[in-house]
Amino acid sequence: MRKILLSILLLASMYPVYAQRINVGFTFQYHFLKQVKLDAEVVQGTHSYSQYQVRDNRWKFFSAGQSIVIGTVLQIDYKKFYAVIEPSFDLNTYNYSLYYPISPERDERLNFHTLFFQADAPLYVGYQFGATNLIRYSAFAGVVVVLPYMLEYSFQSQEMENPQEDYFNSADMDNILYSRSKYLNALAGFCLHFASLGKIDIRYQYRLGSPGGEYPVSFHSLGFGLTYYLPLNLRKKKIYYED
Amino acid sequence: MRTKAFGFLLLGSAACVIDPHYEDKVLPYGGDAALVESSTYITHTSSEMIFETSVVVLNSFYEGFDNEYLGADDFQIGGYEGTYSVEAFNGVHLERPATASSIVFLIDQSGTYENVDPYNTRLQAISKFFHDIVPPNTFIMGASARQGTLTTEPLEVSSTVFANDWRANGDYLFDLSHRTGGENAMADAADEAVDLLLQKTGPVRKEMVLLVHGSQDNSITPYEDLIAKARANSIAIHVVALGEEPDLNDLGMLSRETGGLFVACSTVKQMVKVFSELERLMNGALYVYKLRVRFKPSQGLVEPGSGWLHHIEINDPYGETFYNSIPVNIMIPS
Repeated sequence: MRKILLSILLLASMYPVYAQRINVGFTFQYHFLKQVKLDAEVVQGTHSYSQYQVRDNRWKFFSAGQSIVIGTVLQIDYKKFYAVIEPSFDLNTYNYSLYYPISPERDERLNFHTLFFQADAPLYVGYQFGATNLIRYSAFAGVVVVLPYMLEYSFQSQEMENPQEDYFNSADMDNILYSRSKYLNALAGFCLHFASLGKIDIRYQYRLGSPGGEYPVSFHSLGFGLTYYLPLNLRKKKIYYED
Repeated sequence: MRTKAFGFLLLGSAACVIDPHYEDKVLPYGGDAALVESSTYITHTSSEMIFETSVVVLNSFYEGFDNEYLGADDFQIGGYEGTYSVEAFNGVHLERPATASSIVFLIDQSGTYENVDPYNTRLQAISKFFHDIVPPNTFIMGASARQGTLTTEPLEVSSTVFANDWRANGDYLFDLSHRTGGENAMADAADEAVDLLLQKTGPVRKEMVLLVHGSQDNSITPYEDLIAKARANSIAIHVVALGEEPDLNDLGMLSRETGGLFVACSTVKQMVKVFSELERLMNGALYVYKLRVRFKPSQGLVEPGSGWLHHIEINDPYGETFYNSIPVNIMIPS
C-alpha cells in the first residue's frame, strides 16, 4: 500500500500541473449515522469461549458510533473537475450490541465499544455539475486511507449489577469488529461550494473489506463535512464553470 | 512446585508484555477445586471401616498442573460423628494413559440452569473442554432430559460420529442454552450413550462425562444397571455435579464403580476450573494425594451393604480455603 501511494505521488509530481486554482484549508467532519453489519447468526469471541447472538445490524443515529474528523485540505481545481486530499485526524467510535444467553428465556445484551484514534487521508475527485452566482454543486468519489494508531475497547452489560468483567472478555471482538491494521474506505458524496470561501458536503463512507478474515463485517457511515479555504492566492486563473 | 508455578506466571506475564495483542482464549476466573480420582473400600469390622481415596487438587492460579504442596494435616475428613484418622498419606504421579480416548459428553438439560449458573458460564467452560480435545482423542456431545425441549428423549446428540469439531459442538451447545426444561433422566441418557461408545473398537479408552445440576433422577434405568453395563464395556464415567441439588450418593457411586473422576462443585467458578483442566485430567498425567482413612463411628454399626458418604475439606496453608467439599462414597460389601 505504501509503495502504491508513493508511486502515485511520484507520478503526480512529474506530471505538469494545469490546475486553475489551488486551495488549502481546514475541514471538520462529523459522522453520526452509522451501520455495523455482522453477517453471521452466532459469533465466536476471539479471546474467550463465549458465543454471542447477532441480532442488530440496523442503521443507527449516534448509537452505532460517531466519527469526528479535523484535518487539512488541499484542493486542485481544473475546469469542472477538482481533486482533493484531506490529511486528517479522526476520532472514530463504534458501538455494537451482541446477545449472550443467560437463561432459557433471557439473553444479556453486551455493548462492545471501540474507540480509534486514526489518521485519515481521503483522496477523491469531484465534478461540478451546476452553479449559481454564489454556489456550485458537485459530486465526488474516492477512497480514504485509514491508519489507526491507537485503539481502545471496552464493553458494557445492559444489566449493570452483573460483574461482567468476570464473565466476559472486552477484547472478544478483536479481529471481528476491529483490528489494528490500516484499511481503505470508499467515499462518495455531494458538495455545495460557496465561491472560494469553502464548502459543505454530505459524505458516505464504506469500509472496503472486513477487519478479520472469519466473519464478514461491513461498516457504513454517513455524515457531513465543513471546509474553509484559507484566503491564499496560491494559483489562480479565471475559471469558466459554465461554458 | 510453588517455584515452578511462579516461573510459569512470570513467563506468562512476560509473554503478555512482549505481545499485548495476544491470541489465546481465556475462561472466566476459576476457583480452587478438588476431585475424587478414586475411592476404595479396604476393610471393615462392625465398629470401624478403612477406605482409601485419591484426590486431585486444582489451584485456581495453576494452569496445566496440579497442586503438590499439601500435607496430611491439610485434609480434614468428616461427614459422620466419630473418629477419623489418616493412616497413610502420600502423593503419587499418575502417568499419561497410553491409548487415545473417545468421549461422550452429556449435559443435563432438565429444569433450568438459571439458579446454579446465572451467567451461563457452562457454555464457555464446556467449549474450552471441547477445544482441548485434540486428535487422536475424539468426542460426541449429547444432552439429556425428558419431557423438555429436546428433539429426541432422553438423549439428543450433536452427531453420532466421534470427531474433534469443537466449533460445531460449540454452536450446538449455544443452541442448547435456550432449550432447557423437563425432568432429569441422566441415567437413561447415559445408558443410551454407552451404546454410542460401543461403536468404538480397537485400543481406545471409552469415557463418558456427565454434567448434572438436576435433583432427582427420574430415569427408568437403575444406576446399578448402568454401572454394570459400563463396567462390562470398560467405560469410565466421570461426573461433574453442579450446585446443591444433585444426588451425590448415586453419582459418586457411578463414578467410583466405573473408575471415573467425581467432583461436586458448589460454585460456578469451581466448575470452570474443573472444565479448564478436565481434558488433561482424563488424557494426561496428574498428581493425586492418596489417603488411607480409618473411621470409627461414635454410634451405630458398620453394616455390610451400607453406603457411606464421607467428606474431605482442604485447608490450604497458603491461602484461604475456597475448595469445594470432596464427597467420598464408600460402599461396604455385603
